[in-house]
Amino acid sequence: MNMVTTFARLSECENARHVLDSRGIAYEVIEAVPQYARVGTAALRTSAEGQAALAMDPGISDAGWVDFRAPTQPVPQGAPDEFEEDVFGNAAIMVLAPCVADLSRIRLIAHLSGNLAEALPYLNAEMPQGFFNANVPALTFMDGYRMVVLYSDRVTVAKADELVDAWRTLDSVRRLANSVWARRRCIEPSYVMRRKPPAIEIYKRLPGTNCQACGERTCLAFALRVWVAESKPSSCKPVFSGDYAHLKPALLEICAGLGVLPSEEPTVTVSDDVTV
Amino acid sequence: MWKTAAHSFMVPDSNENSVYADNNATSPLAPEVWEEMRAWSGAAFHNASALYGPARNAARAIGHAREQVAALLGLKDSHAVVFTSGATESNNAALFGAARGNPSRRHVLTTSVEHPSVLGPCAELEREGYAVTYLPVDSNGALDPAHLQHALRPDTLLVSIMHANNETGILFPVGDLARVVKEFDARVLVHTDATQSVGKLPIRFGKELDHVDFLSMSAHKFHGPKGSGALFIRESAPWRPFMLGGHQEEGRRGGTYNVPGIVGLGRACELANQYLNTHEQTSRLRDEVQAYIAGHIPGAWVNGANSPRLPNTLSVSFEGIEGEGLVHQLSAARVYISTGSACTSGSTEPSHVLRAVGVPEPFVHGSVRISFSRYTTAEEAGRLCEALAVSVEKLRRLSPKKRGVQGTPDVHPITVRTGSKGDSA
Repeated sequence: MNMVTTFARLSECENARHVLDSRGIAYEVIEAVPQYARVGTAALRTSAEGQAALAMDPGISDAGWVDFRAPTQPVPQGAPDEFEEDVFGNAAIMVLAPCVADLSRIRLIAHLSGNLAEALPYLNAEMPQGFFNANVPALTFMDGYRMVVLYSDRVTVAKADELVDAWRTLDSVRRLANSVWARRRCIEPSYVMRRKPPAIEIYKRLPGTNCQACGERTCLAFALRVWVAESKPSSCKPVFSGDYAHLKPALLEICAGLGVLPSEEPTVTVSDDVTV
Repeated sequence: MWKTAAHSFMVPDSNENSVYADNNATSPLAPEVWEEMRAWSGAAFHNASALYGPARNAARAIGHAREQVAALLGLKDSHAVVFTSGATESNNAALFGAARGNPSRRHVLTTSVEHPSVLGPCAELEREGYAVTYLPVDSNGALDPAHLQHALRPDTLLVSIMHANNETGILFPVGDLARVVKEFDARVLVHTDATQSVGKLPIRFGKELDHVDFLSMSAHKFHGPKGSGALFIRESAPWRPFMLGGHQEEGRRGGTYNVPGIVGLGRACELANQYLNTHEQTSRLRDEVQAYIAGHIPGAWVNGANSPRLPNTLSVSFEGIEGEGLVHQLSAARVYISTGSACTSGSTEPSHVLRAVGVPEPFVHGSVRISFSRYTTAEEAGRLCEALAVSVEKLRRLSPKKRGVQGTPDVHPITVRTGSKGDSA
């Protein structure tokens, strides 16, 4: 049982279970309830045989398949946080697939019953590390190493660990959007367009000696790793504890701007007092 | 539907009753091509550069294939054809080779909708200090010759414009644009990536392409083998070789001759020449599918319906669904289409090409590309239509999105017309 999928609606999951039951193929259901009930339905884990049976059945609408990986975090207990005014609504995962660049991670596309169009400029104001395109509109930001793009009525998540991690990411986005919307009267909406600075901007702030202390062959390779949040800037020993300490403020500044700062916490944290 | 091969991967069963409509990604090998390749894959394995009898035969077969390619392109002299590993290599060789052949010129002109195998070398040239101008296209996917004229510079070395776009199938009038370039400065070189049009349209030197210096093509787009392509290089064009090695191709491309690949390309060209009249039948099928979508599936937007297009390609966007979700759903019905070009699928951002041709936001995420071939039957096109209608409806039902609110045009600006204007080059 090394394959897993999910469904936009629970009824589709039921259909899939009927197909597997009737063929006597083993499976396991991982339910998104209760905490993630607003962003997920259920995951279905089965064998390659089960996947082939479902993939060849036009009556089944699964979101797509990825390799199963054990969740690194439990699904929290308790009901999901509710908001008086809910701009996010419910999310349904329409597409699930492996990441193109990193097959050990997953990406997904979710559709929303709510609409974030009016909330996006407030979210943009609250997230200086995000990248906003007002023409679409779309707001791109990092949640740790995960990349999230918010559109008016859809969300894409790339580089999540596995499905439960993706649910957690979607739910944190849901809570973030709703709590920012609840506080919108205290926020000056921002329509400032920001583009993600290229990796070369990190490279310019590295020693350029290719010392390999970070484990990469070249400073450029290291810059690319940091740019996609796969390495921490602090792995550059000459800057953090060596002869190039003068580059440290500039390096930290660009990394903060990119949202890839060396933080143990996810970039997006939602507490009583929302900090992002 | 699947049988397990000796290894652990699943290989599709050839008896699978499927509809293959992703021929712009790759196309099935023609049986005649396969026969030709088999003949040069078994006992006839010799190195075509060697001096003994069987090797000389292989060299003669390569010469014949070169003639076949030249005949399809309307070339008098087959010497201008250099065999490569495919269109990506051809494009790289054209761009880097032209840059090295003209070291005093430092500017390249191209379009914003080129294939990554042109945009990649352009970005690399930028890194090396070259200036690159990316010309925009309008909402019909057309390129304004005035823009091109204004962007030309005294130090422009190369203009690279694709013949047909892989995602939308929209054609550029490369012949006319090349004339604009040569009238400005005859020493500016012109390259066209004709990967999607060779074998699907009559492409002829001698009239339309008289001002083109380099042309890239690939065998597997028209029922030839993968890993085989060619680059036309005008003899007078200053150019330096890209793949350095042995003296093959008269020093223009090093590497042992891929004899089965080359004879396969040659045979595919001969067949394409023979079957060129079938493109009318292909475009009729495409137009029928387009009319079906216009009549039966609300919220659809055909990309480039009013532009000259490849006869086999239909790029269509459905409001409120994900193109990738549609491809997945259709796969269960054994109908195989694509979300755009295989080279851009996978990123979460909609394709740069569809953005460039101005597909509206609620539609752009639901874009798919349907591409037929001369092997596509009316029955298959019909099955595709039915599966499409069922799948689009189902995905819309599953989505919690509210269609027709905020940012969605009230009127679906579907621009479908049956019958198609200027469908040939």
